[in-house]
Amino acid sequence: MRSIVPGPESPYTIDECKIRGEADLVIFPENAEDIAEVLRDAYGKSIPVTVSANRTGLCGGGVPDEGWVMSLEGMPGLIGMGQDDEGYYVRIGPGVSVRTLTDTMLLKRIEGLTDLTPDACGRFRRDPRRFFYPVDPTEMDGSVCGNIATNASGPRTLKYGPTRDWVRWIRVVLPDGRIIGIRRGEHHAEGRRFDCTVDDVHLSFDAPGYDFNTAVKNAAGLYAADGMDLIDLFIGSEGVLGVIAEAEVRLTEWHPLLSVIAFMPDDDSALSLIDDLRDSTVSPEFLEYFDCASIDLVRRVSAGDPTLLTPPEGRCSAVFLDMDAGDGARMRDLADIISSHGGSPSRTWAGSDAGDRRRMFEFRHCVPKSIFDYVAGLKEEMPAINKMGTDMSVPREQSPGMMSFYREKLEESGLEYVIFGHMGNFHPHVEIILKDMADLEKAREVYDVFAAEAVRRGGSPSAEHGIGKLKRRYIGMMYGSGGEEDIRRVKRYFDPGFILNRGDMVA
Amino acid sequence: MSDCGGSCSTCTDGECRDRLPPGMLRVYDLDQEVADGILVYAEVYKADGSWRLHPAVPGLVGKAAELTTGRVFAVIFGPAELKPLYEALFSYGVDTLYHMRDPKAVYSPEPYADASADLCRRVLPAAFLLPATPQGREVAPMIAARLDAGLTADCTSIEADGRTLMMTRPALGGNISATIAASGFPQMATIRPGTFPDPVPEAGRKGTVVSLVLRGSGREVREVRAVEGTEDVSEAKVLISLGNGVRRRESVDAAFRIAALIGATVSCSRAMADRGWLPHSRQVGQSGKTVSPDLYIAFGISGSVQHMAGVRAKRIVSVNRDPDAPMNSSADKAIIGDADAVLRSMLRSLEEGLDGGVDLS
Amino acid sequence: MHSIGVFVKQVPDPSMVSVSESGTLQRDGVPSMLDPFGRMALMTALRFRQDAGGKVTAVTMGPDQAEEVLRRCLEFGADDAVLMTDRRFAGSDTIATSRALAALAKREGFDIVFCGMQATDGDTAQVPPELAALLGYGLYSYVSAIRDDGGIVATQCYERYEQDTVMELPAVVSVCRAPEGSPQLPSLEDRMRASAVPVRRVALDDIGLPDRMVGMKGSATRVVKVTAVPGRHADTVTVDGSDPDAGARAVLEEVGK
Repeated sequence: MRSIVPGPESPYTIDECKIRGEADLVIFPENAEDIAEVLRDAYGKSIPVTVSANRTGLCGGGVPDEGWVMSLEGMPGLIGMGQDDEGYYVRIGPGVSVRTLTDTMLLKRIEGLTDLTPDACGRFRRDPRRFFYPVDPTEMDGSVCGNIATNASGPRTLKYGPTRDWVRWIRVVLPDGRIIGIRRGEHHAEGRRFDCTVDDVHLSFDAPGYDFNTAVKNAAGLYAADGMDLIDLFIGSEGVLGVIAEAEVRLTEWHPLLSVIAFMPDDDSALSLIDDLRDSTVSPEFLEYFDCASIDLVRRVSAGDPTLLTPPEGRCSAVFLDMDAGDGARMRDLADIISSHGGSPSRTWAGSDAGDRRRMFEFRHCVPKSIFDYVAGLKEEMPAINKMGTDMSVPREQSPGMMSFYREKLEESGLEYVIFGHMGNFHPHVEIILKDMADLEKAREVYDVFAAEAVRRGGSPSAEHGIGKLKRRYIGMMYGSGGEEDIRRVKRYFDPGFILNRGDMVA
Repeated sequence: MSDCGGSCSTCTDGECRDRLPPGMLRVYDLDQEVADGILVYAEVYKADGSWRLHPAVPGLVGKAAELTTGRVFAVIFGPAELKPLYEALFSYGVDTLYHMRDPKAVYSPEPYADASADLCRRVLPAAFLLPATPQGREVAPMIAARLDAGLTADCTSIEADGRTLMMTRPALGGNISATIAASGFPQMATIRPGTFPDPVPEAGRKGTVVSLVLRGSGREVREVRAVEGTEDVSEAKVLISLGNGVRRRESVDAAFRIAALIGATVSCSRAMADRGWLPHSRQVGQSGKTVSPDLYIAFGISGSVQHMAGVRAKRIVSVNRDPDAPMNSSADKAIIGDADAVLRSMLRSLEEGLDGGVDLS
Repeated sequence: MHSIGVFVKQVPDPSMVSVSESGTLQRDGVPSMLDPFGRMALMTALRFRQDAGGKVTAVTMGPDQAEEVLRRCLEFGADDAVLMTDRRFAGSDTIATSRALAALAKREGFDIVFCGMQATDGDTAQVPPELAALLGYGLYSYVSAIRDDGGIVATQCYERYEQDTVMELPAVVSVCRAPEGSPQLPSLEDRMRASAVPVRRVALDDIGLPDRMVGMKGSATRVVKVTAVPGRHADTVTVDGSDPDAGARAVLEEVGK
């Protein structure tokens, strides 16, 4: 098995949170048996193993504190294709990104894939319809298996739900090196009690006692519910219970989409437009919000970059959505709703062409990216500085109150900020534009106040980025010390030595 | 008079006889028994006050001489001051040169096409070759339409089977090459500049000059401006080529300053030319120029098939953020990094190296 | 009131076309798009309409799916659209194509026709001059801008110079750049208006050309053979350039600096 000793600037000891870790060795397994071998070896030597794939995480989950890094980037990608009553599904390994999966399926470039059910590839190719994997985590370069381990969601969760809903089977290498395949629907808990045999491995333990909050977008902690499916314990577990070496994910039928960006006169008109659209006949696939400050930011960036779309002149906020392109009646409804909130169809972009939509998504991406670049620039002078963005969701009835709370606290603190993101799921990102280390301190305080407020309002302090190493304190905040201990207990059952992804989710 | 103004080839007496577009009824096909020899369009331009042959012309004349057992004709448009060019054309292999006297010396497609078509009817060449320059690509189809001749654009190779030519051009972004034949005479083709090597000139070789007066008036041209950057990217040995991944305007200036310091020329991909950051004359690719440098340094160029169709480099270095960019797999060295940042750093390093760290900016 | 024609083409999205290991082009399932030069022509036509008045008709020749690019032209603001579709058009070379387009231009009474200077799939750039020759219209190639300056003045870009030419109508204009400030995307308003405009379909008989003038029969060239050209093969050395200085050093050592 290939392995390297990482240098001080190795890409394998850092992820998108840009915090640098340390490791003695990076190992590149090429199949599940390799993974098992590495884990057995590590177990024998009590060496912690941190698992990573494409290192697109935002909470340091794949950043090692010590020991070995097991990089799954050399694992297989697209493996096979099958079909059951619910449609087509694809078997994949950690080596495939969401982008590659989506593009391959849309273009039906499936040469070399194995038939998991008779003639599945042929039927798929001949099927006049087109299919895609609908989870859009925004970061399309992430590994699909990584997405499963973190139950990634994204804007399109509004219509399609998070990754969890699309996983039909996973193959997991447990920390002791045993390998099990878990098919959805085959192993359920009695209450919280699991007592089952999976591929000759007997499992007997209790899931955590708390109720995992599914009323809001939530990526904090292990999934737990009465009668839960064993597969759901591993999905979103951030890899602390085992390594997902293979998985099967479902596809859904594709239809042409119309992307729309409506420019609105102020922040509140954009928010009220989103509120109205959520349950309207327009039936949007996602609803994204940009406050006026975000659009100003885009305007500054696009002024120097002709490949980017330039927002219209004058101060404005914006609402971004995707909808079915084929329906003229919905388009007219949309125009009416936009007008009733002070917008105008002539100040609304509408693109269905692939190139247009690509540019509109770049436009959206421009906000977090420019903040990211800005912070990266600051890091040269202030190495300890970090991006400070929230990732909190609340229930619908709490959303206006939470938005006022954000603004009030930020104005009080005197910090500069932008608010944008998945308002369709009541999950905006508040990004604080830091100027110096004093700002960072202030921002950290405000951030914790926000997290506590989100929990108090029945929401999640980590709606989609997960816990990793950076947000561990939220576990206690959400589930209390009892809930935290429950997670530790499950972790200990599978991994008594805490060698796998040590420091993630719970310490 | 009809809509066509009497200018089209279906008009026998200044009247179109029907509403059909002109040029469609009378199929004009030169007599294949008689037609022989190859006519070459010898494009000229004026620079620094004197007239020059377009660099593509010698190769074209040489190829024509190689392909035909008959005569090599050439046509040249311009004022009397073109005379000094005769000798060069003869030395490359022209037997008969038709000089269309254009005292105004303003290129205009219609009169040039009319005169060229008339000349074809007069000399009956088996083939008519033009350079695939903007001028050649504009005038050739007009001539072809007047003669109902088959025209193949942008050829990269030609073979002769007797008087019949097989013309090969890249298609579908250069991944396929299509060999095309014309169904009548004259067989017309525009040839990519740089395709054929210049022939060895034969000093003192003589030929015949026929002077004719160009008829028909050109259009009213208000102003002619020389285009910045007349450096020829197709001649360059080292190219710094900029693509869509270059996002900062300053990077274009940086590229020119680096080019000056290392003796390179700046070229670009279509995206960059479409942005207007660099002129189309510097564009490499199927819709631009073919380049064959020793070293091609691609900054932020994804390497679409259309772009690669124009790159015949000995060595390719790619700087691109996206490790999966096709350019990276075509390159001998792929640097996975930000094109703007690398350009900035290169400039800094070169300028520091110049004079013990003195900042020249 | 000008009658303004815009001839556009449907081409495969070049960013989605890829080359397989064996060197063949993969076009299956690749979405098609309005040719970028055709888009520039459309934008120039729309600007011309804004300045000089008139009606813009977008035209393309192709199979049923080519209607998509006409829809796109309508969404950007064209008033009318014509799809020239007929099995007998299939196999046309540029001259046969130009005959059909010229016949349509006559039928529609266009006094100015905009085309892209070339299309990104064939890159022959032959249709605009052939069209001008067949119609007997003036040809203005490689136009980057049009303005009204005591007459319509077009800026044309040649290899070593650019010139401002006074345009006389009727004319065929080949366009090499979109005007400054062209719409970046269709607006919802334009899209709704466009959805109510039908695409007119025109067959060979409607333009009154005989069979032998179009398609394979009407073509003056024929393809003798097609061979695949292998892509450039290289044993690539990959260098981590996440540190720009390291990237710069890796480039500079290539030129001995």
